Amino acid sequence: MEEFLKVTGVGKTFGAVRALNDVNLLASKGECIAILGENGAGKTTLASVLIGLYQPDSGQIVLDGVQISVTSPAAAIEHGIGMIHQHFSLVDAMTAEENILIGLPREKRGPAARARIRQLCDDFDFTVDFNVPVAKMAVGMKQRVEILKALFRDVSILILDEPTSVLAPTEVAPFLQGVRKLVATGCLVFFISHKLDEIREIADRVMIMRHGRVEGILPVASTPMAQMSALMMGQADADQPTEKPNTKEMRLDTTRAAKALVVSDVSLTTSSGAEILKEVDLTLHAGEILGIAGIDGNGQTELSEVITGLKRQTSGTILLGDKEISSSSIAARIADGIGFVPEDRHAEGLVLSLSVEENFAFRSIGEDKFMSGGMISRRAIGKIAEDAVKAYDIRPSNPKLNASALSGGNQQKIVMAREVARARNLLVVVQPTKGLDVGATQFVQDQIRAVAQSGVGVLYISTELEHVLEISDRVAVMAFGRITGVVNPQNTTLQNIGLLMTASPEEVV
Amino acid sequence: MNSLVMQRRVAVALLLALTVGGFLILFDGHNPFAAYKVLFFESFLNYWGFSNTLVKASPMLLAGLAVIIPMRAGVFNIGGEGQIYIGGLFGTVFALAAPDLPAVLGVPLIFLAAAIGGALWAAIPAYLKAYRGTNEVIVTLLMNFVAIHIVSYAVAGPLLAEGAPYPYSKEVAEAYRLPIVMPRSDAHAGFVFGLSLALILYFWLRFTPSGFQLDLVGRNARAAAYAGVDQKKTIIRAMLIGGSLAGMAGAIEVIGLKYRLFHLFSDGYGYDGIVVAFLAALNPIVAPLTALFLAGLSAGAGTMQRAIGVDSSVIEVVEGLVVVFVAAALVAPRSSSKSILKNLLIGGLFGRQKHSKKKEA
Repeated sequence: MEEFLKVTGVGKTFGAVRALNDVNLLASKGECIAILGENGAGKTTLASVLIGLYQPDSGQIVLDGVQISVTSPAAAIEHGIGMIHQHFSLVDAMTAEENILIGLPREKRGPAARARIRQLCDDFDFTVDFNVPVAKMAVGMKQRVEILKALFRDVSILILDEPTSVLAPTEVAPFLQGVRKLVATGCLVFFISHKLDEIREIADRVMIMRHGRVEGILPVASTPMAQMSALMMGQADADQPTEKPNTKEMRLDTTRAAKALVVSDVSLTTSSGAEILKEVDLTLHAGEILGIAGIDGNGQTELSEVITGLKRQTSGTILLGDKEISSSSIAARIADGIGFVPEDRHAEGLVLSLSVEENFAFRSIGEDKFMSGGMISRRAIGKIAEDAVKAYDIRPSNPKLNASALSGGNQQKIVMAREVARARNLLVVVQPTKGLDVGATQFVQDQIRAVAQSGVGVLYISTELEHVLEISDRVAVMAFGRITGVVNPQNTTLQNIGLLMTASPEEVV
Repeated sequence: MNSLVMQRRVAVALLLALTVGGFLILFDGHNPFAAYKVLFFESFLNYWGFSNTLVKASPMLLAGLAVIIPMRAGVFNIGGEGQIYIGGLFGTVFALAAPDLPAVLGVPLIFLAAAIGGALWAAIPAYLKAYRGTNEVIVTLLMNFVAIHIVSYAVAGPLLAEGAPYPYSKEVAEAYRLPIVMPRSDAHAGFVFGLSLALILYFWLRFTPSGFQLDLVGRNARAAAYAGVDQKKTIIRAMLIGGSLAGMAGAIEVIGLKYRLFHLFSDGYGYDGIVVAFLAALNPIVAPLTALFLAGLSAGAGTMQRAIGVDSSVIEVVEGLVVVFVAAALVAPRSSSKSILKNLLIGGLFGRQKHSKKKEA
C-alpha cells in the first residue's frame, strides 16, 4: 500500500481530558476511511487537528513523505486537506458560485472558474441550482455546494463530519454515490459517522475510536457489525445482553385511551402567503407515541411550534385533553404540562451561558418548586438539578458548570430531563436523536417510552425514519404541510412511507 | 467565563491601563508614581477630595445602572444622558409646582416625577426597538441632543429664574434638598440612594422570576421565547427601568447638588454610565465600586494637574484606555493559558472571539 498520509503518535489534551491519545494512522489515496466512535471519542478532535483548528500536543503528520505542520485551516487547504462540517459555513445571501469562489484572487474567479464548477458538478452528478442564493436551497444542496467548494480548491483529503445527519432519507443515497465517485478519482475521504449501515456501504476501512484512542483500523468488508459496535462501546458494554422487551406488544391498545391532543384543521400561512401547514388533523391518545415522519422542511417543525405555542396557527383548533388551547400563551401551555424538546437545542432549548442547574429551571422559573417565600430558591433549583444529573448520568456531574462546558449529548440530556419532568399531559420531541451516538440514542428512546408508559401522549417528530418506525405506535407522514397518511409501523412498508413522504401537493388533495 | 475569572481579568485590565497611562505621564515629563499618588490620595483619602468623588459618583452610579438593566435584556441604552436631562426637568417642574409639601412626601415624589420623565424619554426608543426593530443605539444617542436642548429651552424660557445672569431655574424649596452625608462638604445622600438601588436590582435579577426572565432575553432571545417570555415587553420593561434610573440621576443633580435646574447641568454622566456598566461587567452590585473608581479618576484629575502639572487630559486618556482594556478583558480567550496577562492579550486584544453569537442574535 502506497502511504499518502501518515499520522504518528498524535495526542491532544484539553485541561484534564485526553481528547486524543497516541493516535496512529496510515492511509493511501483513493480510500474511504470511516471514523466510528461514541460522542466524545475524539473523532472531531482528530479531524480538527488534521485541518489545523487545533495544534496537537505531540506526534507528527506526514503527507506524501513530507512532514507538515498544519497551523490553520488556510494552511490545511494549501496542503489539500478540506473538511465539511456538520454546520455549514456558507454565506446565505450568496449563490453557489459566489460561495465556491469566495476568498479567491480575482484572476481565479473568471469564466474559466465558472466552467470548471459546472464541470465538477457533471463529474460527480451533483445537482446544484446556480440561480438562487444558498438561503433558498435544501440542506442536501447546501452540502453539495460545500463539497464543491472543497473540490474546487483541489483537496486530496476530504473530511466529512457526520454528513448524512442533516440529510433527508432520500438524499442519502445520491450523496453516498457522490462520495464514491470522489474516492474513485483518488481522493482520500474520511467519513465520520456513527451509522454502521452507511459505513458498511461506503467505507473501505473503519477506524474505531474510544476515549481518544484508536481501538482498531479494520477492513469493513470482513468485519462483522457486531465487532465494530463492540469495539466502539468497549468490550464490557458489549457483553451485556442487548435484547429489549418489545414494548409495543406489551402496551395496551392506546386508541381506546383518552385523547391527549386533538389538532383539528390547523393551517399556518406566512405573511408572504406561503402555506406552511394545511388543514392538519391529528389525534394523539394518552400513553401513545405518535411519530411524525417526513423529509426535513415539510412543516414538521412548524407543527411542533404551533402545538407548543411558539407560533400561532392561522386557523384551526387545538385541544389538550378536553381543554382548548388554540390561543393560549406559551407560558400557559407550559403550566398545562406540555413538555417540548425543540430541534435546535443549542440555540433554543438551552442557555449556554447559564449554569446546568439554571438550565433546568429557566423555562418555568416562577413555578412553586423553584421558589421559596416569593423568591427564586437557588437551593431548590440546585437540588432538582442534582437529582436529574444523577438520574440521567449527565457528565461532568457538576450542575454549577456552564451548560456550554458539556458535550452535545449531555446538553441534549438536560433538555430531555427537563421536558420529561414537565410533561404531565403531552411531550413534543423534535429530532431528539440528531447527532447522538448509539448509546445516547438508546437512552433517549428509553426515556420517551417510559414517559408514554406513564400515560403521557408523545408526539415524536423526526427525519430519522428508522427511529420513528422503531418507537412509534402510529406514524403520521407529512409532505408539503399536510398529513399525507397515518400508518401502523408494524404492517407498512418503507416503500409505502416513501410514497407518502414524497406525495406531491396535487396528489394529496 | 465565571465571574471570578472575569473580575481577575478586569483587575489586570485596569492595571494595564494605568501602566500605559503612566508612560504617557512619563513622556509628558513627570513622575507617574507621584502623579498617581496625588490622584488617588486626593480623590479617596482626602476628606474634601473624597466628598467630591462621592458627588460625582452618585449620578455615575445611577447612569451605570441605567445601562446595565437594558443591556442585561440585550438592549444598549446609550441615552442615559438625555434621560438624565428629562428626569431633571420633570423633577424640577414638580418641585417648583409643589413647593410646600413636607420633605418625606416631596422628595420621593420628586424622584418619582424624575423617574417618569426618564422612563417616558426611554419609552420612545424602547417602542421603536421592540415593535419596529429600529436600532436603539442610534435613537437613544440622537435623542440625547434633543433632551439637552429641551432643557436649555426650558431654563432659558418658561423656567428662567427672575434676574438670572445665566439660563437656570428658580431654586427648589430648601426642604427638598438631599441630606449631606459628610458635614460641611457637598457630599449628599445620592450615592447611598444609588447603592440601595444597586442592591435591589442585584437581588431582583438574581432572585425574582421577572428579573431572571429579563436576563434570559439578553442571554438568548430564542430560548427566552421558548420559555414563554415576551421579548417585546421585556425590552420595553428594561428600557423603562433604565430610563427611570437615569431620570433619578437627574433629580439627584438638582435636589442634591445645584438646587436649581441649569442649562447643560450634566457633564456627560450618561456616557460615564456606559463605562461604569462595562467596568462592572454588567453586575449591578459591582457598579457602586466602578462608579467610585471612575468618579475618583475624574475628581482627582484636576488636583493632579494643580499639584504636579500633568495635564488633566491625560486622565481622560487613561479613562479611554480603561474602557479599551476592560472591553478586551471581557472577550473570551481563544485558547486558555494560566497567565491572565497572556489570556488578555491573545484573547481580548489580538485574538478572535471564540464563540460566534450569530445564532443567538
